[in-house]
Amino acid sequence: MAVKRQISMVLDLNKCIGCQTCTTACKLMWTNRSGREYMYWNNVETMPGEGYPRGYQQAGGGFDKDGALKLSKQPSLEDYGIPWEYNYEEALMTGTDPWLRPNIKPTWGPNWDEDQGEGDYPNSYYFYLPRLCNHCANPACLAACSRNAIYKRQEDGIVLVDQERCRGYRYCVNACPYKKVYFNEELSKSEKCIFCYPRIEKGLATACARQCVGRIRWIGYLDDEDGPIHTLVEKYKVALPLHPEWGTQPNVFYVPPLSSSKFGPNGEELDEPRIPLAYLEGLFGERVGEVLETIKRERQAKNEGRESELMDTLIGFKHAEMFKLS
Amino acid sequence: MAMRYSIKYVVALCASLALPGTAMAEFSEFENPNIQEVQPWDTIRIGRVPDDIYLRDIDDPDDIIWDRIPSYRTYLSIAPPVHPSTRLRFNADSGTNLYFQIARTSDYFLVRLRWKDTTKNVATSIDGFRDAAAIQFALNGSTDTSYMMGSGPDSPVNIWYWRSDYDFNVEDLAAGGYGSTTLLPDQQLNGHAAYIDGRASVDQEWHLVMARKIGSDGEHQIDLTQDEIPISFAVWQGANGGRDGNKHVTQGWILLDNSLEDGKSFDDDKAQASTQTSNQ
Repeated sequence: MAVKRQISMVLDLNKCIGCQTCTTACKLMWTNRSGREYMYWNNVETMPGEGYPRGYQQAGGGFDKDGALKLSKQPSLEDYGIPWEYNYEEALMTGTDPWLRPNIKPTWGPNWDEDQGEGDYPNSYYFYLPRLCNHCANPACLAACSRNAIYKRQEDGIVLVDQERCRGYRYCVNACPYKKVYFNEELSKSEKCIFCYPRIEKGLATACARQCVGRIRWIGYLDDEDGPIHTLVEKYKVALPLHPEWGTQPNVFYVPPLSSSKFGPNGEELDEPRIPLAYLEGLFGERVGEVLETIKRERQAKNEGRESELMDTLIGFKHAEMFKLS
Repeated sequence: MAMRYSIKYVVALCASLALPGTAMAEFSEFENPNIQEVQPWDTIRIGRVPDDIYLRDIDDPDDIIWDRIPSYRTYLSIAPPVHPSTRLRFNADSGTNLYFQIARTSDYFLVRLRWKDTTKNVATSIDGFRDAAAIQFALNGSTDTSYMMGSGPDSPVNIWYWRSDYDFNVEDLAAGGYGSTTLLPDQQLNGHAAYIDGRASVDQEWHLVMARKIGSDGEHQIDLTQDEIPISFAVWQGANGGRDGNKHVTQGWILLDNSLEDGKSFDDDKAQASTQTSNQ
């Protein structure tokens, strides 16, 4: 789907510390109440892990090789995590309940498997994967909507749900393989990440990116050769889409994580990364190995006191250089 | 004696094989001489409620007046898929019967629908879809208008859409082709439904009445004073993920003869309606 310009985000997974500040920034800004309690337009999940909603990577959706929509398992509220409230009034104010406790018995929720990861000591591993709507060039949600209620803005490629046209059929929820469209029970309409377009229109970065304490996010236009997105995605080619095989052509890209060496049976360091390359290739495609080599090479250059435009970009010295919105 | 029992058994077995599932459940309705089969393109007369009969609620789905209004049965089959999303979920099942009655008072136009549903779905939630039903009217009274959501903006349809998840629950909609369904700015439909939770699953059904004042039509709302009104029906099963085009529909228009014949009594009307169906 051709648009005049495409806004885009790069996230460096080597820098993400899983603090959920982005998640909180987004939630407080957009999904605090009114049927959105269970929604996380931005979330950070531990990989390997079930993700949010649970098992979304195995659910289906997206497009097949011929470009036809694929049916997916519809996530249940339990798969997202049933949101709960606490009895603050009774426990803390009136004292009528001695315990502060949730109003339901929680059995699953976002980050239920936080920091579990895979592998056995000393070769256990995990990393964090922040996720938001990919504002795809070929959005499955848009293709699935029988009412043309989902559209992609010409001026920046942001994908939005027209709340006037939406009648809550939830084909989009099913079709998005990333499960980044959510159904609002109170309004009977679907909702999703809006890439903070009211902020973007004022030249401000999205809340998740601006609040990120690890400074892992860059925002800009794909075609802006002076911008950080072009540097990372096109020039050095170190940022890759998540699950490109799903056919939606995401516009959110990730710098895959390097990891320390695996240990052998006698505690010796092996020439093998802790996070298996095959696992990362399963997420970000075949170019992961090449990307990791580029990052290692440029790190080495910086270590040795040589110039590295790539490392200077990835360090993210100034917000003004990380977010180029003109 | 043994022979007679075995013949009975074979007859019963044949009957159960020939009329499985809902067909068996509705066997008694087939026997009901007061319910007439209606095919698309048949014409039926609208029943009249005399002015001296007081209706406490215009949309009471079980008002005793409905025992005196002619009842029809029509077959709703699965709607053909017109979008990849409906095609992905298309399930060519056997369809369902819809029982309907249509009446008018001096002021109101009333439609009562009944259909079998063993699963009551009254929530629109992340985990489920609601039961729903709709009546569609060809707005210009022309049967040239497609019975599949109208024929573009110039030949639109008016839709009364009942949803089981709201209290004030009938939406007045218009459409001019697939995917164009739009909520009209002026909402003045009445509607009320009751789910009949019978002892046996065959008794479980929805009763629904939708009503609108005659002569109150605005833009894209059916003129209920015209002599002939083409209508069709749709039912959505929440338990089967019914929404949008995942529905059972009348495959054509049923024509309502809405002409007034002054001086006729209610019972005359009823007698006439019970003998009149074309194409039989």
